[in-house]
Amino acid sequence: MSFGDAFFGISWLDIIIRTLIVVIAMTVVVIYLTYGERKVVARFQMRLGPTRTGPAGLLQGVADALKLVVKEDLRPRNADRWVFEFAPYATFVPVFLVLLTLPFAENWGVRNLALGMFFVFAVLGLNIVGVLMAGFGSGNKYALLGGVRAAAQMISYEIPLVVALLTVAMLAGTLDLNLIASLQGDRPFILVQPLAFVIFFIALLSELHRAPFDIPVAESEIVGGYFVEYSGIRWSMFQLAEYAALWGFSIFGSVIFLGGWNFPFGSEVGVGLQLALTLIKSTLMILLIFWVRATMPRLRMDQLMSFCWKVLIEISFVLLLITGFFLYYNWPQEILALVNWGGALLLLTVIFIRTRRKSEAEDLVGTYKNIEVTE
Amino acid sequence: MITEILWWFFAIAIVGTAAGVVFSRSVVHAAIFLILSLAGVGGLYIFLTVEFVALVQFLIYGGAVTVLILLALMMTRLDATGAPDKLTGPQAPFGALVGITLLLTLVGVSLATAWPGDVDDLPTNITIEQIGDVMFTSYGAPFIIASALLLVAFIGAIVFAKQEDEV
Amino acid sequence: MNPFELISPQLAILIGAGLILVYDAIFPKDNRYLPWMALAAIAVSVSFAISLAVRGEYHVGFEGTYSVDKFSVFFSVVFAGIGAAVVFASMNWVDRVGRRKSEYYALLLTATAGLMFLAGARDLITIFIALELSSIPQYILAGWGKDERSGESGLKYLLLGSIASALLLFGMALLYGLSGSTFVPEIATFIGENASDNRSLLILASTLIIAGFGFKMALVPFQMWVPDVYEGAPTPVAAFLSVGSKAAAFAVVLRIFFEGLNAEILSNDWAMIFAVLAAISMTVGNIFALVQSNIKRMLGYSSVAQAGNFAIGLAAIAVVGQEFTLAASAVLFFVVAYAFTNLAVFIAVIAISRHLESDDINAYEGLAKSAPLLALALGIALISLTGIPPSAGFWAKLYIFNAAAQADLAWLVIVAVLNSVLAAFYYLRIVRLMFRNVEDQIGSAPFAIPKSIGFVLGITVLGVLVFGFFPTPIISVAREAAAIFSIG
Repeated sequence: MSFGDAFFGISWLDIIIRTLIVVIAMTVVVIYLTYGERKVVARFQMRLGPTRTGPAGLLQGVADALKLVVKEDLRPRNADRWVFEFAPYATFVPVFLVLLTLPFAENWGVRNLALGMFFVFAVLGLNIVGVLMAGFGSGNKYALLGGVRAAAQMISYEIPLVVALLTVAMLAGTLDLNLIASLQGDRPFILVQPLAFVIFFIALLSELHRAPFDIPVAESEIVGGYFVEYSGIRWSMFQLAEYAALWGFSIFGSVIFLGGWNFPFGSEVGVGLQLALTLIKSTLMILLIFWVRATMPRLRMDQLMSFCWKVLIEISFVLLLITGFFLYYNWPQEILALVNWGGALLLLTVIFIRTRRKSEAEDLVGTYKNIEVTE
Repeated sequence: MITEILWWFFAIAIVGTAAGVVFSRSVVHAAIFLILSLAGVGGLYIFLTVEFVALVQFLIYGGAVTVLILLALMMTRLDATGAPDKLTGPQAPFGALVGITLLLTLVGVSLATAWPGDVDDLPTNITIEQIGDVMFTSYGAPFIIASALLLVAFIGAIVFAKQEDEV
Repeated sequence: MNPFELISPQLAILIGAGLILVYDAIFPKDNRYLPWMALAAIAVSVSFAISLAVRGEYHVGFEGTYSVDKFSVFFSVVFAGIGAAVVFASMNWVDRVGRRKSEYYALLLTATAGLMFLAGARDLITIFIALELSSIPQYILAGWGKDERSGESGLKYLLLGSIASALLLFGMALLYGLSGSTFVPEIATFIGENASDNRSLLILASTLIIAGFGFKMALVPFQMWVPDVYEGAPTPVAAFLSVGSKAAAFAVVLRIFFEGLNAEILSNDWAMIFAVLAAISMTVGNIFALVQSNIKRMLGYSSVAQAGNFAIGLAAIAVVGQEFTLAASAVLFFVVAYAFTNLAVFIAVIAISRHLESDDINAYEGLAKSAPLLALALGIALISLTGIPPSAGFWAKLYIFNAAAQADLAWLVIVAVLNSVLAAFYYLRIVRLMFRNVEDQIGSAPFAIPKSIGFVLGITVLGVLVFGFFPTPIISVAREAAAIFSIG
């Protein structure tokens, strides 16, 4: 489909139209994601969530958005002006760039890049800059703490995320997202690399600052993290970036692991059905993320870091090595899948057992050995 | 035509932000300018149709190196207002002298040199497979050394940063 | 041939470093065996290197960017020996510091591996990254001690070293931009054809590269880090950087300049640079060494002066032109002699200052009475540094002066000889102090020299003497190793 050619015969107009479609879709999706999250989490907690605005509270998100737009845009006196004001955009632009490369249906995205997956990694890294700018520019200690925490967390979890995705890219033999989706006609990669999916999912939670990794924005500890000083339209830019990232990475994950537009109907069905498939799969992932958020308590900073550096990174490197061996010696992928399922189940079991464990007194002080525990 | 305009845009942006790195009074501002400058260089790589290198530039310099610089600055300098530093000391005139001499030498030498390469002769559309091939054959040794180097840097950072365990 | 076999000596050391770290992570309490693991890794590495040489497996690997030839095997063995000596010399000190032993040995090993990679690298990228692999552990090790001095030393070394690396990279980038290749033989081909059009750029690039390596060699005017770093860094580490990284820098300079930039029109220019740097380094180093009262600072300036002696060799090679194996082998012989001599001096200083708890030269007064063997060893090593027969240092200096004389660099030889006289003042002052008869001397309690230090001190002093009496075998090895440059 080429809009510009169809109407005017101008190629760059096509890009603009596609971008506009994505922008509008993103705005609507984000508005309803906030509503959806409140509703889902409320149900988990045996509440009703928003009900008043519109039928079943459906207009709540729109009302919130309108309120935020007309709210006063405050800037603290000792804020670093330019850094403070540009931080929301520095956070939002990378997320938006991710959306531009995603294949929503077969060969339908704003731009399909041959290095699509790598592009997503590269842009993901730039996201941290915005967070740090917000943390620094606010001139507030809580914001600074949140920014530093967020940056440390995102840098660390980027490693297992990237390595886990690389194992899939090795199997696919390409970084082109559309091509990766088209390879999964009868077998999505989650069946072959479930361990990679588990690692990807955990790291994704952390990259998106979702619970249980929402330490940078922990209300009870640091008031709200790096965007504590923001209000009005700038604050909503952060929210927009966060939920757009949630959506974008769910689609990204579903393209890479769940077969995207391809599985299970293949490429013969029309664009409409493919689009619906993509959206359904990404919605599933989003629901999973909400579920985890409603279930798990927040981790402590040192637990978060040691989980990444001492567990996830090792496992993902071992997985990379194993995948390399299987590919080099042409061992059957069924065995790789078997090994992978074993690993994934083991990891999940260990996590499950650890979360069920009762905390002991010395756990409460963690690694800070200077603190004396008195009974 | 449009490429040339874009090239000039990027060139001016790179030099402008690089000047920003040098002249901004706050180190954090300098680091942010550095990100912009390096991202601009990444943009120039796109003109050379080496998208992979461009993305590596974004990932490594924009996303990792400068973020680490920022992080280190924020961890060590909790002065969140970014109080300006004094940029020059008594050695400033000598520094300026050296800098200007270096600049003049470089410009003079560059003009006097018959540079053999032409941008149009460069190979275009280098695929990631080709890069991978070269990486594991010709540059196999640096690849191995680089992995050891990163490990060493890592150990060094831990040795200096980790607080002493009282045994 | 499998390229991994070519770099097997380095890989052995790197794997050894990894094993040390893993062993320490698994058995944190049991760290007695760590230095022996390091020594085993070095031994395996040397045996790999020698087996490559014995089997005559001289190849280039990695598409020509890394080469195993007599030159690189020669230097690999020298660096491995230096690494082993420093491990021995460190044992006692590391035990006393008593923290992070595994990291110390692992870093020492990786630095050694980096030096060995440098010896065989024939590609600018490989050279640069191998240089960093050898430098970064040294920055860390220089700041290893707990006191402020050591921290200052590490930081100073890191900052100035980074600037030197930047200069070096700039020079390499200019070379690459001009020739379109980072591969040294290809650069040589390009320069052979186009040197005359681009002389100014090539001179600028050479100057920048010399500046970058001059820092590692501690040539004046890139010597400002030397005294502070030598004084602040732990003495075993100072020994390593005075010998190892200096020798590696000379090895690489031989590679880049004599394989890459050896066009007739160019070589006279940078030979002149080396000659001038040699003269300045010797003079400045010796004059400053004269007035030092701290032995480590004095050794720092003395190493600047010795770097000047090396540089004479470099200058001589270029001027002679195609038949430069004489001067090249002189540099190689000097490397070996200097390694033995300087290591002996540093190890003796470690033993002495461990006892005296002072680096003050005046505290050495009357040392011969309380520790006659130690004083004798230090005396022999210092005599060798001065260049008095019968010691390895004498032949090294003679050899290098001879090469310079053959290259019609008479003025440089005169400067060098005058400087040797100057150097004799401060080297022999220590010898005289040690053997002076003093009645009531403070450190008159009997010396306890740790076995490891005594052993390695004995080996190095023996080396100084053996090569002093029988220099022929090592000279012939050096000649063979230097012969790879005669073809080009």
